Amino acid sequence: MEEDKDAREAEITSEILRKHAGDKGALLQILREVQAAFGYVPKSSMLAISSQLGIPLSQVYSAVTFYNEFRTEKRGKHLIRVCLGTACCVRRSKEIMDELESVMKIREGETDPAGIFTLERVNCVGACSLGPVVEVDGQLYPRMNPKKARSLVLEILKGEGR
Amino acid sequence: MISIRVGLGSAGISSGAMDVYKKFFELGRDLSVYKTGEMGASFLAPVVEMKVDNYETLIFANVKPEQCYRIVSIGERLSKDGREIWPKLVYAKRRGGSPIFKNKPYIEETPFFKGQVKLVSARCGIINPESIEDYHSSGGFSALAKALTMKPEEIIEEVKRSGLRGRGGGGFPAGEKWAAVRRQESSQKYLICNFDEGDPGAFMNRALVESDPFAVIEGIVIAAYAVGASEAFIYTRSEYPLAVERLEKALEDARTAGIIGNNILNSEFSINISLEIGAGAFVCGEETALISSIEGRAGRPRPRPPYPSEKGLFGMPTLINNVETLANIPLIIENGAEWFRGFGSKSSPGTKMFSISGDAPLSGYVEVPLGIPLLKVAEMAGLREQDVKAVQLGGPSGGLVSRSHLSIPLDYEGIQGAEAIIGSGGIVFVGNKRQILETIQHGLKFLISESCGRCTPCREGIFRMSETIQKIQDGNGTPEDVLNLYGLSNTLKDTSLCGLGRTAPNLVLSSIRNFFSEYESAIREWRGKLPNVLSYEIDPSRCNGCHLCSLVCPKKAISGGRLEVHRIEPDLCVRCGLCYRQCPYSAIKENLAERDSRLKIEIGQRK
Repeated sequence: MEEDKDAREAEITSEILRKHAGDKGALLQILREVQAAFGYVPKSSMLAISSQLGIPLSQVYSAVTFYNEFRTEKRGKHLIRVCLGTACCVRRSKEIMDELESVMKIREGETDPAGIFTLERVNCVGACSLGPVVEVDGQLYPRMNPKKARSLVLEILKGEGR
Repeated sequence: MISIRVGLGSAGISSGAMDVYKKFFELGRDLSVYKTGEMGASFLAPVVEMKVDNYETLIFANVKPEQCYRIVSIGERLSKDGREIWPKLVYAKRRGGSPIFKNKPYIEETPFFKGQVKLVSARCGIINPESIEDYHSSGGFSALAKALTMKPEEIIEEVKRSGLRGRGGGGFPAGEKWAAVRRQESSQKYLICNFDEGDPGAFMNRALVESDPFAVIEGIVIAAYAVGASEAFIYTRSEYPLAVERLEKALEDARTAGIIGNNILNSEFSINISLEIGAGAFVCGEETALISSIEGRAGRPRPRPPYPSEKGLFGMPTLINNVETLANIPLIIENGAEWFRGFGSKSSPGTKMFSISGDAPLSGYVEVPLGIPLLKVAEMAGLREQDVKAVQLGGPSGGLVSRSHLSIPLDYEGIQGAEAIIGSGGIVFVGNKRQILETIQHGLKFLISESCGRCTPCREGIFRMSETIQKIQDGNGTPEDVLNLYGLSNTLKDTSLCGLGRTAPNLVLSSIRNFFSEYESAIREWRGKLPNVLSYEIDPSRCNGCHLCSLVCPKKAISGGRLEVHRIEPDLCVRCGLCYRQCPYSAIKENLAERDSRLKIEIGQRK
C-alpha cells in the first residue's frame, strides 16, 4: 500500500517534470502543479525535482517552506482561509477566525481529524473594500461576520453529510 | 437597442455579479450583454449599466438577480415610448446621450466619484477587459504605434520630462530608471512588470489589471522597446486568480493580434511577454527578491548594488516597473509630457490610484491627482474629519497618521512630512473605536510572518518590537520600552538588507510621533503625567549638541543643529522624560515641583 502510493507519486511527479524538462526557472510552477495533484508537496516529489532539475534538495525545500502557498502536509478537502489583512482586521476579522476555530474545533493552520477542513489565515486577498472576507476553496465571501461564517461552515459540513 | 454591462471584477463577482450576468441571458429578451471590469466603487457591487438607444447610460447598484427583469423592463419601456418607470432603482447616470431621469445624479457627481480624475483607470468598468477589440476601439495601441516611430532615446526623454515616478512605492523617477537600463551594453535585457501587490489594504493594481489588462501590456511593450528588452515577465500573485486568468487571455489575444511576438506591428522590434506567478510572499515585491523568485528560488532579497538595472534577472540588465507605472506610459506617449504634467503637483505629476478600505462607509479604489489633501479622499470614502482616528498609508510598512494630518497633500514629498509613505497606494481608515496599539501590533505580526529571515536585524528586530508593543499593551510598559523601540527602529533602518526591514519601523515610529497620547495612557508612569516634574531644561554647559534627545522627542519639541546647544520648547513639551533618560551627558535637568519629595514617596509607596 505504502509502496503503491510512493510509486504513484513518483509517476505523477515525473510526468510534471517532463513538461518542464530542464527549465530551472520553472521550479515554482512545478511545485504548484505537484501541489495541485496531491494537495501538498510530498517528500518523494521534492527528491525527484531536485535530482531531475539538478538543484540541491535544500534549495527545493527552502522554496517549499518559504512560500505561504506550499504545504508539506496533506490538507483537508475544503480550504477555508480567513483574511487577516489590515483592512479586514480593522473590520474585526479576528473574531471570525476565533469563531471558526471554535466551530471546527481546530486551530489556525490545522486540519480537522476527519480531513474535511483546513483552516488558514491569509494576509490579504486584495478584496479589502469588501472586508472582512473569507475564502472557501477559492471563492470569496464578502462582508462576513462570525455568525455568517459559522453558518457557512455548517453548510459545508451538511454537504459532506455530517 | 438595449445593451447591458455587468461589472465583473473580483469585487463584483464575490458580491454575486456572476449570477446577475447569467440572469440577463436567462431572461431571453432582446439584449446585448457584456462584461466589464470594476469602476472602483466596490460598495455598489454588483453594478449594472444599461444603455438604451440614444439615451444616457443608466447605472444600477447592488443589483440582485431578481431585479434583472425590472431593469430590462425599464429599458424596454424607455425604448418603446420614452417612459421613465421605477426611478427608484436607478442609482446614477453616465453622460452621453439624450437626457433622461433628470432627478438622478451623474455618476461623477456622487460623493465617491466627485474629485476623481480618471486617466489610468478611464477604461475600467467601461470596456470589456477580455476583448482586445474594445481596447483598440477605445483608443488603445495608438500610443504603441506612435512609440514605434520614435527613437528609444526620444521615448525615454519624454518619460523623463513627464516626471512620472514609480507607482510601486519608492517613487523613483521612471525615466531615470529606463535610461540606466538603456545605457547598459548587453546582448540580452529583461523587463519585469511588478504586479506583486501584497501589502494588505492595497488592491488598485488588481482592479486595474482585471479591468484593463491591455493597457498594462501596451505599457510593457513600449517600455521594452525604449530600453531594448526583448523578453518581459509579469510577476503576479497566486491570490489573484481572476487577474491571472484575464492576463493570460489578454496575452494570448495580443500575440494573435501581433502586438507581442516577432516584428510587432510590422516593425523590427520583437518582444515576448510571459506570466510568472508567485506563491504567497510579501517580500517578493522587493525587486531583488522578485528576481530570485522568477529564477526559481526562494524569494530572498540580496544586497544592492549591483542594481537590477545593471545585473538583474539571470545576471542581465533588467527594468522593473510597477503595473500602474507601466499603465501610465501609453497616456504619456500619446498625449505628451506637458499634458501629463498638467495633473498632480510639481514634484509628483500625474494621477494615482488609491485603494480605500477599513472603517469607511464607501470603499473601493479611486484615482485622484497627486497632491490633493488626504481629507478629500476621506470625503470620497464618506467620512467626516471627526470620524477618522487614524489613517494607515502605504500598508504595514507605511505609516500611521492622525486626524490632524488630513490636510497633508497626498504626494511623495508631502506625505513624508507626516512620517508616512505613499507606498503602493493603500489607504486604510481607522475609526474612533479602534486601538492604535492593536493596529500596530497587527502590522508587526504581518511583517514578522513575511520577513524572509535572511538578515538578523529584520528577523529579530521586528519580533522584539512586537514583543515590546505587547508589553505596553498589557500595561507593563515603561518609558524605557519606548526608548528601546526607537533604538530598534534605528538599527532596522540602518542595517536591514532590503526595504521590508528598512521600512518595518515606520508604523511604530509614526505612531509614537502621531499618537503619543495612546502610549501615554498605556504606560503607567505616564498616565496622568509626572506630577512632580514641572519642566525639563537643557543645561547649556553640558549639552554638546549630539542630537540624541531631539531624535526621541515624540513632540519634536527640541530644536538645535548638530553640535549646537539644544533647546526644549516648553509649550510643545509633554514632560514624558524620554530626552532626560536618553541624554548620555546628563545635560537635561528636571525642574521639580516644591512638594516633590513628598509626592515621590507617595508614588514610590503606591508601587
